[in-house]
Amino acid sequence: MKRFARLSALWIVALLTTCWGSAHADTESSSDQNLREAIRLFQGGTSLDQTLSAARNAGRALPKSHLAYFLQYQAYISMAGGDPNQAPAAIKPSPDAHRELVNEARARGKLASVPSGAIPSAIVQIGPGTDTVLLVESERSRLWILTRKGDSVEVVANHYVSVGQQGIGKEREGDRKTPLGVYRIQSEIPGAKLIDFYGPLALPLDYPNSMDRARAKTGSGIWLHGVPSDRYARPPLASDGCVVLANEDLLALRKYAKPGRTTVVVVPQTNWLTPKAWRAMSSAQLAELPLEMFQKASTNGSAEAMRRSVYHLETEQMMVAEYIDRRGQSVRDYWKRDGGRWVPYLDTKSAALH
Amino acid sequence: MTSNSVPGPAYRTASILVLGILSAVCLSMPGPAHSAGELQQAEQLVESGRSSEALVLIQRYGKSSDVAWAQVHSAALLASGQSRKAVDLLAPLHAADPLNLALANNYAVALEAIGATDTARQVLERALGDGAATAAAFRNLRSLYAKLAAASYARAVDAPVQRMTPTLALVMPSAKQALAFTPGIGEGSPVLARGQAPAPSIAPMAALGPEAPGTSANTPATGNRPPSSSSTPAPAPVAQATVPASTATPSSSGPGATASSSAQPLGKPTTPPPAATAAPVPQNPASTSGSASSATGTSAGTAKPAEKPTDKPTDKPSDKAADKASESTAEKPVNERQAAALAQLERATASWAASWSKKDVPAYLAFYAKTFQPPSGLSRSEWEKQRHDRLNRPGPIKVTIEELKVAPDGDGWRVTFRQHYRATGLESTATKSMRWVQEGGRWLIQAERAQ
Repeated sequence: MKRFARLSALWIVALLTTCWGSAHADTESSSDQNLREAIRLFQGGTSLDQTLSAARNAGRALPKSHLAYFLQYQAYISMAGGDPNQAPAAIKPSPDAHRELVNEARARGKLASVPSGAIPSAIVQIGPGTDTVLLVESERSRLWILTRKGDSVEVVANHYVSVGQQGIGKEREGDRKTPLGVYRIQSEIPGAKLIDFYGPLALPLDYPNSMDRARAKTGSGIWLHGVPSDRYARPPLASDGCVVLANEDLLALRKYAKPGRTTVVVVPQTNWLTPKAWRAMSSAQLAELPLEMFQKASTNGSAEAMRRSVYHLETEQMMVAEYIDRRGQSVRDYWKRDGGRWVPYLDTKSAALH
Repeated sequence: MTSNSVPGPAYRTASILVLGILSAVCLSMPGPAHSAGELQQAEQLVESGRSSEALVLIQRYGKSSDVAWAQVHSAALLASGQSRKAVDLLAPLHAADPLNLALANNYAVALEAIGATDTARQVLERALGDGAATAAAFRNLRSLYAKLAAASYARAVDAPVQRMTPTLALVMPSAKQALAFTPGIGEGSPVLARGQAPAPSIAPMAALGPEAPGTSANTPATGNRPPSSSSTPAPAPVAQATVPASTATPSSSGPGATASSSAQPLGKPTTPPPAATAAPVPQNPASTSGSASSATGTSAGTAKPAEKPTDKPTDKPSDKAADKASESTAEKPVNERQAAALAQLERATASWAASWSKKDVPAYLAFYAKTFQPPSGLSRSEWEKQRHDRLNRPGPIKVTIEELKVAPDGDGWRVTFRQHYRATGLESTATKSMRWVQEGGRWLIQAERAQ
């Protein structure tokens, strides 16, 4: 009997490991994997013993993670016969604390739905002028680090992120939204110049970009930054518009995030394709996109066109091609879907600038 | 799934827990000596996933009346998807010896495999509950889980960690009943009391009922005075009523938490969950009757001092007062207290808005209680800095409030109003909700939220 119990436990672990491998977990940071394994076990509703031990592992690996303790609470209180959805009677959390932890657990759990090896359809092409693309997928609360690999794209790593309290699609200053679109990292602010709240590093973006200004969007100071030193992470919707990473993730990101060379694409969600499907999508989009109809920058025809990075803002039905000019400036062209065709989208103000 | 639930939890709490514990218990079960070779072989086959081969072996050598063979046999059947056969195999053996934990456990697993969850629960509860020591150990384990749970939660939400002393069950060699024992942690002295027979079924955590228990647990203290001074509806009752409450809340301030067992009636109601589960002793009749007439949430608070009253007469008065108070707060005085609180809180809120309009940062910040939880996970100092920066932006600020309403909220008051804010380049109107508490005679904001 006991051996049977052990056997079935092993079997469950083996099964979970198999499922695990099918998600994009291999590119997640290892400390986060502890946390997500605990979440996964909760979602699977398997054994409380296993869930508790996973939650305790997460707590050991991430002693500053409030979620790790929350997951331990859930396991313990379930074992005690209590209701995991209620706060213990003796503790009055601040009104949002409990809900925010649930939200964080859910958001982290969403990584499981991205198949391993998949490539996001929001990236159509990464050109040579771009070292790395950081794709923020707000509905999954994920930042994906992508690089060019031959004529394809490779996911290097991914991290949990928080975005604006009101989500993405910034329009106005103070709307607490993170901008949706294509941006570049402008500079790097070292931790010594930051208050503790922003963590060890901040990477300002070029919001509002020329398109934003043409559309009269306002606001400024959109950064990628970290968290206060006594925290591991923040809830999925937490900032005033910045993209917030765990401090250790931010420091791991640093080697990919180079001012002027790293693009940040923020979308609500994207489709994850197999490499084969992605290739088909990419060549179909590039064939359809009238790349010769650049609005800006001097081009030398199609050879130059192929050097561009191309991003698909699917929810906006927009295509953005980015080119780095001789001065190292990012130059972007926009197309909007119109009557089944990609039509150049004029932003007159910025066109005048170039 | 409600917004408060965890991502897709599928807890089958008690039964799964019991299965887990019992599978550990089963490790110590001795096996019969005869035909050990074949039995062991069959067991190994099951273990290595070759259940059908094991079944062949069992058919040839196994004895259906032998418990050890039945264990292996049922495991092989379950592993090969023949759950119903496993149930049929174990049912007569379990019926002959319902207290055999190993059998009961495997039988329950088989029952669960055919979806008979409730029968599985009954089988396990009977096997556990009939053994006083097992039941006590099981309950104690749950008490410890509850305590660990609360400690984890406190860390999860940055609440002060509570000092909790769950009442545990001590098993004595000759006594049929377990003794209720509260360990003396810290300065408290341990308390040992003759308990009543353990309840036949596992009581769910009474304190975690549908109501928000933290709030109601404080209600008795909040209402401490009103019965005697209800003829004076003026500000006084409000002030009096809330002061004891705040001292009795260890979650917001230290001192209450240090209340040892000698000061239980005050200290205890604030720590209901562990005690409620912990008690192997059902609720003390006195406290049960005391709370029966009051709100359901209150019973959670009044339930635990259970074992005390007999040996601590000095505690009795306040105990009674708390009981009475819990009745009275549920009735009329609320309106009078509300009227008084409205007047006070209107003034306090107006002063708060004025300090903001005047950009008087120290005065503004002084309106926030020590226990105030800054939004968005900011620390107190970060939040203060942020407020300092916002208030000091160039240009005048004008904050006006209207439609102010107050409602009692545990040991404090919930104040809601419309807030008009006007500053250079920004104008907004929002509904704001605040929780005010009284600290040292001053009204202070403990929580603030805009909608």
